[in-house]
Amino acid sequence: MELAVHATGLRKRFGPVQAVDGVDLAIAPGEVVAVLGPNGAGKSTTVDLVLGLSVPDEGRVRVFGQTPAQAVQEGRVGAVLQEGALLDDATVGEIVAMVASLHRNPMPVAEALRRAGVADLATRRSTRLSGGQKQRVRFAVALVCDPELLLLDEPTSAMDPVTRRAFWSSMRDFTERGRTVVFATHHLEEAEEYADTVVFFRAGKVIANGPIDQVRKLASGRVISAVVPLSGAALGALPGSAGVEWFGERARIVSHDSDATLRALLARFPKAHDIEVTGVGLDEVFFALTSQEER
Amino acid sequence: MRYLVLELRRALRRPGTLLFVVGFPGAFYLLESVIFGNGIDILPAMAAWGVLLAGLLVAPPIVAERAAGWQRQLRLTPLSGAGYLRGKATVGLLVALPPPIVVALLAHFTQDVRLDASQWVALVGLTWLGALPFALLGILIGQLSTPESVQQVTIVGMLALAIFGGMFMPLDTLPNWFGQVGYAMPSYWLTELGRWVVLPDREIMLAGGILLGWALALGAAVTWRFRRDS
Repeated sequence: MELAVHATGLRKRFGPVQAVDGVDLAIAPGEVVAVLGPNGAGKSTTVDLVLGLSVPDEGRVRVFGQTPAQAVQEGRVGAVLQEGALLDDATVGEIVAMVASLHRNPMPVAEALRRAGVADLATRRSTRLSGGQKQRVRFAVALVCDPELLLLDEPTSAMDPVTRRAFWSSMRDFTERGRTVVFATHHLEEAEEYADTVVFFRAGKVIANGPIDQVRKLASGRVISAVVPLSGAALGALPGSAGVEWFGERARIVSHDSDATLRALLARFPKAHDIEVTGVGLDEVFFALTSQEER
Repeated sequence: MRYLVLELRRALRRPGTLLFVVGFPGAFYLLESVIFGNGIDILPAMAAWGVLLAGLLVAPPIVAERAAGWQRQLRLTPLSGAGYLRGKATVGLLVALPPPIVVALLAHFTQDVRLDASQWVALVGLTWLGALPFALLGILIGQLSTPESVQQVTIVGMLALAIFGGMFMPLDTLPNWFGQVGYAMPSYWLTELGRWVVLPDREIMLAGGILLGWALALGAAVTWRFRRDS
């Protein structure tokens, strides 16, 4: 079976910035993939390359075995872009109808509006919408070509928690029909809740990827930070430890079982002091995933 | 097709579109008819001015859509960039149809201008066909301007082309140097199309040829700019 997205060796430079620096992606049809990473990590540029909105300096992208342009021509790809605009002088219904009229086999406009949860806004001008409503209208625009692959670049950034939940529930309806979804986000919780697989970006590279279960396990862990005078000690061997980072004499240990790790730490290194235990964030999950791969 | 209908509806809804293309030429026509004491001399110029305005009004939405990212959204549809520009030109041409009709109706009903049916059709039809280079000019302005500058560029273009093209004052009533500038303006030749219908001794082939030349040159500029953008 053809991969929904198959990227190999993608590179893209903007002036002095190497925005994408050798990215490989292989996303199977029906997968829901979260792309996580800080701002400027290359997420949006990669989305643009997959959509064919920009051309890679090196490497190649195939969408269902086709070039991005072919896939777009056939209406197999829909996208909610970060700056995807709406028209000021048209109603929500007209905007979706305009996009629908350009596709060969669109779904009915009313259905796209309903699926995106904006049927009641059809006659509203886009200037009179809240940020979250606009984002759902963009979702309707992306849906109307009835795509097999949907790319969403930070789809929920302008939404309040209630709208966010409604958005993801309409998304779930979409993915239940076997469609492929790739979404970029800052929110680890969103990835945990909705994705099958997670891809981490940093500095234009994919630094880790893995099934969501693994991430969930890591995200449920804790970070133990302590000054351990024997800098460089083998803390990785402590029970529960999933990775260690040193900042001078201070060690940061990501742990699945902080109680066990901490007891063992104090037993073996009685001089350890200034101990802090915190929940893990995105950074620690990144770190734990990468350090595991190195081992 | 449905796409064009929606584009046209947006253009007509935009505040200013109808005011500019129908209201301004209509009002100036009535005003100048009184000043000149007859309704026929100024008729081709005001019909042409409305067409010119309709063409240049193609520019602002292109700039706005470029700035807001709507063009990126359209690139995720089968519509090509060239198709997008063709759509904008078509809408410009459609919006250019009402002005000569309205000015002609005003001439007939308020100024007692009497022409044969074939002359009315020729006046409206030829002036309307002359919209092509102006719609292309509107596209070019749309490609080159920023959201901050497009308003000024469009308005200055509307007035400069009208004034130097002799639309408000016939060129032969003005100093010689003014006339020399005027003959270089496409707006002068657009007016000539209508003057050929209603006034004696005018050169239609020359006017048509020059406008066609302008259309080709502007079309080439638009294509060049489009290739550089994409």
